[in-house]
This record gives sequence, C-alpha cells and structure tokens, in this order.
Amino acid sequence: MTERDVDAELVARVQGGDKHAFDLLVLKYQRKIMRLLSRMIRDPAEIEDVAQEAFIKAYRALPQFRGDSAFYTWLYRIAINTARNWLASNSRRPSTPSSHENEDGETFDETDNLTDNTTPESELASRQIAQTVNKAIEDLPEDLRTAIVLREIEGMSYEDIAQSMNCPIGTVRSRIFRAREAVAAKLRPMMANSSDRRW
Amino acid sequence: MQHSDRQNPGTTQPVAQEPDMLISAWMDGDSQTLMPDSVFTATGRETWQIYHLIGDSIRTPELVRPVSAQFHLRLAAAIAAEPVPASPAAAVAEQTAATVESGAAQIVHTAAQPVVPEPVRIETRPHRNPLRTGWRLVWPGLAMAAAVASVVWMARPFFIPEAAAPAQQMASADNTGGKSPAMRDYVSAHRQVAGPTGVRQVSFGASR
Repeated sequence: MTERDVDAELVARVQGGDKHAFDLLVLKYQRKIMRLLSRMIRDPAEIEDVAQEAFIKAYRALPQFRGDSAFYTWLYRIAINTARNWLASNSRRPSTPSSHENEDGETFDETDNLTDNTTPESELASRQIAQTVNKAIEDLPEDLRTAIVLREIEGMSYEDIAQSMNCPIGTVRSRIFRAREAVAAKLRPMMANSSDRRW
Repeated sequence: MQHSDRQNPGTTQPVAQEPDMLISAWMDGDSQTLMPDSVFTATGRETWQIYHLIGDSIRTPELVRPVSAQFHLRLAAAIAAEPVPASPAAAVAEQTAATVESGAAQIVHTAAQPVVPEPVRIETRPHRNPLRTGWRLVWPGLAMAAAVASVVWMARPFFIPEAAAPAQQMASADNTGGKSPAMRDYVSAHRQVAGPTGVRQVSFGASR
C-alpha cells in the first residue's frame, strides 16, 4: 500500500458520505495548496478564500474522480484553475506558472520566477516551526532519526526501511511513531499558543 | 485510551498498539495497518495534522505556513452545507438515468400529443346512422394511438434496462437453443420479419 492508496481510501470514504474524511485530506494538502496559490495571489486573506473555493470545488467534483491520477495532482489542477478564474474575474493580471511546471504538480517548486507572498509575521512563525522540528530531529536517538529520515525524506516504504535497517517491520513502525511523537511533543506547545492561526 | 489489538507478525500474541501509532503507520501506507477509526476522532485528527506538519517541515520547510483560525471553520461550514457527493458509479448511474428519463419523456410527450385526424367529409344523408358517423372520426385517432403505444412498448428495453433483462434472457436462451423446436421456429420466423433487434425486444410473458 502506498500513500496514494491512503488518499484513495479517504476519497472512497468521502464518496460514501463521510465528510470527516475530506477534512483529513484538507489537513494533509492545505499547506501545499496555500503555497501554490501564494505564488499567484498576493494577499494572504485572498489566498485563503481561493484555497477554500478550490477545496469546495474538489469536494463537489469527487464523484468524477476515478483515481486515474494521484489525488493531489487532481487537486492541484483544480486549485490552479480556481486561481486563474479568480484572477480573471477580479481583473487581476494572472501570474501564469513558468514552463518548468508540469501537470503532475509535484515539481511545481521549480517555478522560480513566481514570487512567494508571505507576511513577516507568518514568515517568522514558519521559521520557528521549522527550527523546532529540525532541532527535535537532531536530538533524536540515531535509530529513530534514521527511520524517520528514510521515511519522510527518502520516501521509503516500511518494508524497504526494515531491510535497510535490518530490523522487523514492527520495529520500523515503532521507531517512526516514537520519532514523530518526540517532535510533536515540542511542537504542540507552540501550536497551542497560537490562538489566531492554525497549522 | 482506546487500544486496538493486532497480531504481532511471527507470533500468535496480540500486541496492543496505541491509536496514534496506528495513525502514524497507516498514513505512511503501511500495508499491515488498516485505516484506524481513531483518525476520525478529534484527537486523531489533531495527531494526523501534526504528523503531516512534521513531514512537510522536514521535506520542505517553506511549506510550513500558518493559516488563519477562521479558515478551517469557514471551510468546514461550507462543506457541511454541501450535499454528500455520490460515488463515481452512482454518478454514472445518475447520468444514465437522466438520459433515460429525457428520452422516455420525449416519447411520452409524443404519445400524449393530441391526435388530430384528417377531417372527414360527412355526407349528410337522411338515412345515415349518426353513431356510425361519429366512429368514423374516432377510429383514425384510436389507430394512431395504438401505433404510438406499440412503438413505446417496443422501445422500452432501450430506456429501461430491467425491461431488457427478460428479453436478453430470452435472446440468450434462443442462442443456446435450449427451447423447443416450435419456439425456435417461431423466433426464426420472427427474426426474418423483424430483424435481429426485434427478436431481442420480444418479451415472452410466460417466462416472467
């Protein structure tokens, strides 16, 4: 099973009538979508408005999603089209993505000519989160750090990680979980203190 | 705290696993972990959120940006107001049904059109029976209505799949030759007159 299968399970659950499953998809991809839109729209409030519209469109179009592409690829296209339509309807000059962008959407980070519109406050908050995560990862025992890096950065499956670390899959599962919990323990106080923002 | 038990690979002893560990494993696509119910609780949702935040931060720190507290509230309210989306199969079925209804409505509309027979010249003869004169006006209309009804009846299998099932069963029965010789002769003769499609539409009422 892959991460794509996880998304497919959630989509199937939404199609079965569970709206909470769509909320999980939103939580998973909101940052990517926000960052995508921030390269086309300047104002943070408008970015959220367009992101909301894109997610609602995706929710309505779910019956037409058959899983031929990855869910995020499909969502990416909806977000792009929503942003372009929004820019056109608001008489804004659309900032078309560069030719480096492919339809897969997973390499959109290479659109270097688009500006990233963030406020100083959100920039500071983002930096603090990133620094806290990096510090927490560095402080992990080596086996936990290796397991979570192989998973999150290399994208390896549990089976491959088990083979690489020469340990059972259950141990891999446990190590990754404990690594996440160690990092989460340091993040939760920061997130709880932010009453006006969410992550 | 809720615990779910799973078999430890290689042993017969169940191993209690924390709900958050199940969420952690399932979100990674661990083939040995089923979708945990705990992910749909408030606590599980928060765990899902923070685990994905950690992953995004490790891979792409620029992804880590806050959203306003109102974003999720507004989106949740908007989604709650939306009707439940249908499954892809249901969406296709709905589209097909809409096409069927549209087609059937056209046929019903056609059948319901008032039949205006061609005006019949009535010769006034003192000895002519007025009843017979009236029927001369009605008969053409009845004939027209009967013709339209027969067309609707013949076309039913195209628009109503259930009506085609018995006909298809009979068509397959015809193909397998499992019927009596008399039946085969009848079907063969019918096919010669009406063509192959006519055979499939014939409904043998006794078989229902």
